[in-house]
Amino acid sequence: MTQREKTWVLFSILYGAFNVIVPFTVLRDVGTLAGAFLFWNLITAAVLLAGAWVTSGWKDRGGKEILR
Amino acid sequence: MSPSMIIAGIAAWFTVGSLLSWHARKNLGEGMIEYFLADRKVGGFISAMTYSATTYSAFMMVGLVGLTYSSGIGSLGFEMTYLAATVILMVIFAPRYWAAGRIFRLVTPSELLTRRYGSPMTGAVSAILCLVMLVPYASVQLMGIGYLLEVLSGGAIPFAVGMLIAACVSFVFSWWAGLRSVALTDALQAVVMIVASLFLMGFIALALFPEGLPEALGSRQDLLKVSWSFPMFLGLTLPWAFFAVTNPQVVQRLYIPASVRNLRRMILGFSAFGFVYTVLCVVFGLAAAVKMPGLEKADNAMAMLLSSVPSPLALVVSLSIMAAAVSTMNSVILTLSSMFGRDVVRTFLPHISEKTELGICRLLIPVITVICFFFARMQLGLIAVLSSMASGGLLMQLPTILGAFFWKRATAAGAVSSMIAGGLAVGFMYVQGLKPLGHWPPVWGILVSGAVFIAVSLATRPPIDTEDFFSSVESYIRDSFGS
Repeated sequence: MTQREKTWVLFSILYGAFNVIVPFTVLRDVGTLAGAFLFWNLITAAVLLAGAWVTSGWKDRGGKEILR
Repeated sequence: MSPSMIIAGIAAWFTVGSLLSWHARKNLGEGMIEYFLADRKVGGFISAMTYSATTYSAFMMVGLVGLTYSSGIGSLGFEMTYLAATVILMVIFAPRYWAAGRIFRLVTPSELLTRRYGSPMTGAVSAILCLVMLVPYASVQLMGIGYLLEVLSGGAIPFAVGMLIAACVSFVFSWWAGLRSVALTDALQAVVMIVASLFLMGFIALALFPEGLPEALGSRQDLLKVSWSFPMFLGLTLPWAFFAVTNPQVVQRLYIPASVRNLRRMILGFSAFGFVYTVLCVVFGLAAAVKMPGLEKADNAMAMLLSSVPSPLALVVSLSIMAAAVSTMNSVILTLSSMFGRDVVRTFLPHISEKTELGICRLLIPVITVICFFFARMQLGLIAVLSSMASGGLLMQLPTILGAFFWKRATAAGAVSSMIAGGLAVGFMYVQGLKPLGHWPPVWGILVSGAVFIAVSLATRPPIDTEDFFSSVESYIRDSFGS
């Protein structure tokens, strides 16, 4: 595993913890869109953006496409 | 909606899909890699769309909408966790599968296990586990279409006829040109899925809730509170969180992008598609719960919602649900047929020619389709639970897959015994309806599978070429990914 991948794994563990702990404790009884609905949208968006950043270092070595 | 209108819509969709399949057929070459992986030369956009359409099934617009309708916002957490976990896993595993596929000329995900563990039995057990678990998963796609068409047509298109139509479309799209036709039709269907959902969202926002959906939700605050118990969340989420590495129909897609750039585009495209589609489906469930509370069957929430929108829009959305179901089903069946040929038949008949092997695989496409049809006619339980049981069973491969890439001490005996022990444990608990200490079968199954994997691996000897496997994959990744 590269250093970047190890950082990614650590980030994922943190995500996994927050993803469960916050909605099931602090936001459990918040009955508005600003509660768990907003939280799960934001935390997922953060992971997707982080994924785009982590893979930004993937360099291309060519390859012919037949289905575009 | 009139049955003739529905049939006309299906005919139009089938015609366009068939034309794409015919186009794909023109360039079809020979061999397993060509038929099942499109010669590993698929562009980023098509890869992203076929990955998305394969992943997102009728469950989203039928099961997830129903789950949100009946249990509220917990379903958003469940589905978003799945999406985030998939991207997390793809970042780690996609380069490894992609590289290993090229180095060892792999066709199926189970074949990777055979190569890594130096044991055809490991691949065969994995393939059989997938066959057993994915038949229910493919069958629920048919059930989704059956329910939908029956409700939309007011019973004029019976459940079984709706399923038969879907099975036929799925067969044509997959059998004709293998992955080439599946990938192209998947791309078409993914576009239909997202566009139709956006139109439906627009109509709901403007016509059904002119006062604003957030304001309307004020009367149903219970839906926005996290009413799920933690064991339920864990039990449903755990198998889906690892879907990206345990479900062969999506893992096989990691072999197909033409280059590293296309592999990355596949991940980014799927991320965007998944996020938008998930939010839309959950909002549909919330909207249905506010607009038409008290439905006896939650899985009918989408169909009831469609009964309150104009017929042309309802037709397009219905076709998008059918597209979601068919694109998942034909991908599953195509992958299962390749696994049966490569990982089961070749294990017992190692000297058959590739031409014979491909012939057997293609023959299996209609056979598995028919099996799924008859399984679906049994109408077992709620769609979400049935799909999740399938993923729960497939989760038992997780220790073996992790060990394949990250634990050199892992052995074939450990892999085979953990998949069998975990699969039996999960199957037994589901059949008996057991939830020890309130936790769902996949939670206990993965503990059993993991413990057996470690214990048996430590007690046995790893294959002699383990180091070769690891160094080949890592050096290929370094060369190809520049990291």
